[in-house]
Amino acid sequence: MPSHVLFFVHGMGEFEPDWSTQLQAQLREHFRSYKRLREKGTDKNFDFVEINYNDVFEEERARWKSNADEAAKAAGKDGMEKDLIKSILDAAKAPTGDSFFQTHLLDVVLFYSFAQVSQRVQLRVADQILKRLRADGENNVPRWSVLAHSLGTAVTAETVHAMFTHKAGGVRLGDAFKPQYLAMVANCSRLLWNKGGDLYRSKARPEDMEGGGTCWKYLNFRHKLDPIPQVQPFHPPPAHWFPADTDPDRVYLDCELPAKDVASANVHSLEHYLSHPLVHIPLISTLIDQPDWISPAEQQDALLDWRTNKALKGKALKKAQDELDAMASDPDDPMAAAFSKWLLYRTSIGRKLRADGEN
Amino acid sequence: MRNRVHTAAAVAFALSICTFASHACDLRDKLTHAYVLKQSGGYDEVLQELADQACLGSKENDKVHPLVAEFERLTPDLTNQEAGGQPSTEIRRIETSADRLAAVDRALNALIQFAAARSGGARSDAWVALKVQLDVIRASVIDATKEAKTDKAAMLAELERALPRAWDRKVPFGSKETLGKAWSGIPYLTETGCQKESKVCESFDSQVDLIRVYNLVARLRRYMQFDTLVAVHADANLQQARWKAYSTGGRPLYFWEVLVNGLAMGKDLCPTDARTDIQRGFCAVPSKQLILLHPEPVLAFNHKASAANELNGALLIELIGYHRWNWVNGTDAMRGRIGASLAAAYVQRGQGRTWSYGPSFTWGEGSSLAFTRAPGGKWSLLVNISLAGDYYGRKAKYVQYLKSLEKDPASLF
Repeated sequence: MPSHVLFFVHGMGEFEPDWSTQLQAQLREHFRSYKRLREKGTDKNFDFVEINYNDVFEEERARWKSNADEAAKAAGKDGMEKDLIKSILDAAKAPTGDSFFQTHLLDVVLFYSFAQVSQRVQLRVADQILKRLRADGENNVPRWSVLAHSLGTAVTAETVHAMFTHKAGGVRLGDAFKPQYLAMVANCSRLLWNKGGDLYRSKARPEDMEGGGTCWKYLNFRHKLDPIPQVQPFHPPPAHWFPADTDPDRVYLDCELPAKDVASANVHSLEHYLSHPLVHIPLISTLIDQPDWISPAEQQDALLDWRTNKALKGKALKKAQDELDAMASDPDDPMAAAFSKWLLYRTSIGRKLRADGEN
Repeated sequence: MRNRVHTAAAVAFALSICTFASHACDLRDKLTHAYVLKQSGGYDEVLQELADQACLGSKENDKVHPLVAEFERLTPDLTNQEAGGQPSTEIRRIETSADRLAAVDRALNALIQFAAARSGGARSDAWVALKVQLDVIRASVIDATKEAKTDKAAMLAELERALPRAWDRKVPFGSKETLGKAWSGIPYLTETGCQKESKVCESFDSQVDLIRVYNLVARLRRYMQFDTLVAVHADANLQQARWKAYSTGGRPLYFWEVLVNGLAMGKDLCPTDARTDIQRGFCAVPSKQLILLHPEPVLAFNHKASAANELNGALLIELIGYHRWNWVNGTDAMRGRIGASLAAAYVQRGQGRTWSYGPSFTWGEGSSLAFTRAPGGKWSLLVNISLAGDYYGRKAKYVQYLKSLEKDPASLF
């Protein structure tokens, strides 16, 4: 039985159960591509478990649609000619279509602006984590970590904070159940933080002597050209975020993939991030708490191999870079401006993927 | 004693050699001399590997070891419930923590006895230090037991102090000097000093047990606090169930109402930390709803109709209103639901439709009615579909009853 559970938390979009199957296989493959880890069967120490919360958004959308449909039926044909009724019923259906805004960006809006939806998402995620921790018996609770992507980073930050500050029956969750590592990919947690105060003072930070944080190490992965984590970026955290008297490198890793490392224009995807050795090597080394098990030579080979065999080159690279550059967000952009750029980005990526015959 | 422990472990592993595949946690393979010989770093490399993985002391991979078997026996499941049981029962479970602390005390005692037995051999320094630490932990657990009856938060704080989070990390390798700040006072591993060709390495055997005990203490730490996991999970489930009731049993809200009601959730539902001004925990689920521009299909009541489907449909828009109830303690049941709104209805009038206005009332399991009047017109009674169905269902039953008594139902309506 694996002794360490790694929870995969998805980002915005239409995620169905088993959404992470490919990603889990990809990460196991990375484990096995390094000699010592392969020989020791290290990946078998980990149980990869996916978290789903998209159903909360879907339930809300379905309820709104059903309400609006019933009301429209009651209004009848005459009613729909009345401006007020028509406006209200049109508005009622607004969040329920199939456009990218409605199925993707709206998730972000619902999580950020709709406190009731956000609460349900956090409870849904906490339930899955706590259920898994209880599953192996009372004297066999596993250690756990999180690999979160995009909107999932904000969901993770708020859920972890809520879990470890919630009081039930006069007690809060014991520190024995704190996560080991939080790995945030395309981190939006600062932009979308909506619990008041300062995200950097929340529980989603490294453990300190006063028990202020939760994890042993916090990993922050971003790509220079990924527009999503560029607005109000998480990095750099302020000095007070770090535990006192601790070497920051021991508890925090920030990795920005360079602009030249583009394997496809969809640099925001978790697959793209995980494929890159500068992401999966520190992630794996942290999870196994062994910085040396993947040798420097192997690390260099992996990077060289990625850049030789996966990265775009020449005109294709230039084109992708130019497109991504045009969509770059300013760190101080207001959220609306960031959203319009994200929309532009995903529309462009979607067109490109369809042109390449991908779904 | 050294030989006896070494022999017991060897026998235990020999007994367990049966069908197994190569696995990261395969102790029957890793604890053999043949495995040591395969590693370039010999005993030290195997020791490091064992320290990195939670195999020693594991329920699945090390259950044949007598100490592990004893640990399993002494730390049984106490809640004996599947995750997601009755929330109110599980939240109260924390009040039975004395049973758990007694189990923890017995398990600690077994670990202390084991450490004492190991103290005379290789790495005696580590075993003596470990025994001292375990004695201190046990004394703190006994203190926490006293708190259990009066102050649960104080009990948890005592337990967290007794077994700090440093025990949640892997056993460090080195010495007080080389570990520096990283040394938290817990036992550490040192190089065995054995050649890999040597079939016997007492330092290795002793330190294997050190890792085993260390991992068992880490498991005990989580077992000790398990009731907090149950309580928080149960409360999270209760809040989830209440949100579901809020969305379906309360008034089903439109998205602008969800937005407004979310903005209206204040510190009474989402308390904040005075120091950081950040919300603490999950918000409590509201027991009231603001109703705003809420369209709802209704039926215009007509006393001549004999069934709901004979009534004319209409659209009621609650312009602004309020709906409230009480949560039944510890459950997702709603009690005393009641609400009122100012409403506008678009109703059939003669050949066309027209606007009428008036108050609307909601109560119980989703029944609502409104009295509206068009300017210069008569008052209309509008009922929602649930209430109409309920009314005409009862009416039909009553008619049936009267027929059975051979009375003329028409005389009564």
